[in-house]
Amino acid sequence: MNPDSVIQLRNIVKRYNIGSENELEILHGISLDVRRGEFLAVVGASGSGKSTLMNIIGALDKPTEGSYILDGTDMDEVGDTQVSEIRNREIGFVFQNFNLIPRSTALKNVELPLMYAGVSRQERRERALSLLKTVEMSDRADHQPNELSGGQKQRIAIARAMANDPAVILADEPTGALDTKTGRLVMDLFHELNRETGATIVLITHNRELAAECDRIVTLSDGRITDISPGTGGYTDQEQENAS
Amino acid sequence: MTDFGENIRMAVEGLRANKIRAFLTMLGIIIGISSVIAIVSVGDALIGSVNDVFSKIGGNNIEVTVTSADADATLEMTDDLRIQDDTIEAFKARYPDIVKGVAVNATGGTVTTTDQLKNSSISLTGVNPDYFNVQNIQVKKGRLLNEEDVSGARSVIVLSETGAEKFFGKSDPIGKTLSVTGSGGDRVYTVIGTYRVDNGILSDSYSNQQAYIPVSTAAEDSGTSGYSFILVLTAQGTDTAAFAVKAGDFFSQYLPENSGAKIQSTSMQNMIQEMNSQLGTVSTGVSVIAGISLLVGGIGVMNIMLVSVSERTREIGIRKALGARNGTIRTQFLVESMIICLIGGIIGILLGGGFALIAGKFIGITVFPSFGAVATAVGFSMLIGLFFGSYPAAKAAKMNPIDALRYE
Repeated sequence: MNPDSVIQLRNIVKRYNIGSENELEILHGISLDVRRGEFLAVVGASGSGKSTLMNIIGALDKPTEGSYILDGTDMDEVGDTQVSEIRNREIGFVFQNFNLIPRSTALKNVELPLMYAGVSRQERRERALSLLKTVEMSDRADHQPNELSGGQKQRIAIARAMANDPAVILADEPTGALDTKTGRLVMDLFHELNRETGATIVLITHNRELAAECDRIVTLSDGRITDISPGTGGYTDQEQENAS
Repeated sequence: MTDFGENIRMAVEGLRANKIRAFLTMLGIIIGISSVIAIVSVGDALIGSVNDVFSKIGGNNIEVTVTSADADATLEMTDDLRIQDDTIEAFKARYPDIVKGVAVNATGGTVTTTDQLKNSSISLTGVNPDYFNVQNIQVKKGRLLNEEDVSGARSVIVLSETGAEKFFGKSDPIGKTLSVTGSGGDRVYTVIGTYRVDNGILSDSYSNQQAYIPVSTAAEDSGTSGYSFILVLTAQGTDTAAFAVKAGDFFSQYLPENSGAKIQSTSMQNMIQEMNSQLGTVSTGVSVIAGISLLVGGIGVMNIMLVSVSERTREIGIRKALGARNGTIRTQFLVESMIICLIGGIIGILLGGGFALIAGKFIGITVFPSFGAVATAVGFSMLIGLFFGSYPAAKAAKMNPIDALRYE
């Protein structure tokens, strides 16, 4: 057991419709460690089992077989109420379609995980405002999602994901609904967070270019890991140019 | 772990976003609550004002009437059936601590005054001195009738203050005379006093024309003796309902056998109870209708909450992904459903209160929406929200976050 591992997956198998005629095995024994502070990309074509793996890592689903230890907690021994707590404190979700709560301001959206964590009104407002500042959205705090552009929405969603300082930020195709330029900005934000706050990020994508700039790239194919290779570590050409 | 104020804020915002839908949903609750509030308020006010009137004219009174034993037959009233003065004396002697007075009257009939060139008909009633106490009639000027007037069968008369004004204008009526023509022939009465006229709901032009003469004088004119109807004033604190039975038994012994007559003895308490129970029946009827309306309203709330839950499936998924517990989701939807019902309830209370005030204006009574009814309505509407919201809320709470997030 590696003490540096935030995520430790061992022989994860996921089957659906167990016992029925159309029983289906999606994951055939995945083993994977994600180090603290790592920016990991999971790539694979649609149907490769990416989403299923993300649901298991995000504690939205349980594996049929195998063990999953998240930040020292064996997820097999966790009850329903505790699962909510783990999702609240240990995982920060960023979705392809943003998934902001409609009719709630940007600020309220960022406050939501803090509210579920039982943080006081005053404290969660302060924390949410500082998170909005981090993602450079302070001036949009009182805007509702339908008044924001896609890139702005995703920034709010990222601020929300970081609210409880989770062990892992789980980003599922975060640039999938954005144009290339905006997508680029969102990726830069992830790199910045990873570098400056040491956030562990698992990026799930089918875009190999974006995956290539992460620390490590895990390729998933037909429910198996077929390749693990190092990436460029988060420096885009432009940033490398700027740095030099 | 949830913030209640936040739940309320979200619920109100959700309702604002769908104003017409929210209003239509509330309509059943509004109709139900407003009808309950209106009927209870008006009913309470009616009972209150009736009780007021009864206690003013004598809540301690017992009516004793000689009536036909057979409800279908008419009774030929004769002196031996009537309650005689010595029977009343015996009754007073039998219950000295309870009986504070016995009012008797004999109709002098409607007579025409021939005096002052002002022909007018007034209604003469022969009474004893107790009558004024029992009926709570207050002297305005001069004096009321006394024992000597009765024992001497004097030709004296007590007019109403308005009646006196009609005959004598602004001048003092005391000592003036009034000639009347009635069934017993002509008689000239001396006015000894006037009585106060209250403008209560029971006073009318009839009572203003009412004049009182000694009962013996009236008996002389009509040639009869005894009374078919007496009013017994009992001491404060008497259980009048129970005493009415005793009084009935007492006077029954004096009735000749097989006369075809019986004594009917009722207390004001009996009458108030009967009135209350009749109002109660009306209230129950309206409450049943209101209950049905609330039930239908509740089903409407459940329906709209189910719609709301399925519309917000994705939102529920997001909340669960962000760490909302099942209980938190359940609370959120329960609060929303209770707020729909509470707002409906409050609108219903205002509307019902308004109806009650308008109805009160028409009936001529003062209506105050009953505090108990308002509190019950608020509590009950929230209970409806809780009850009919619990299934949709449970459905939301049980949602699988993965399916919910995938929902389009």
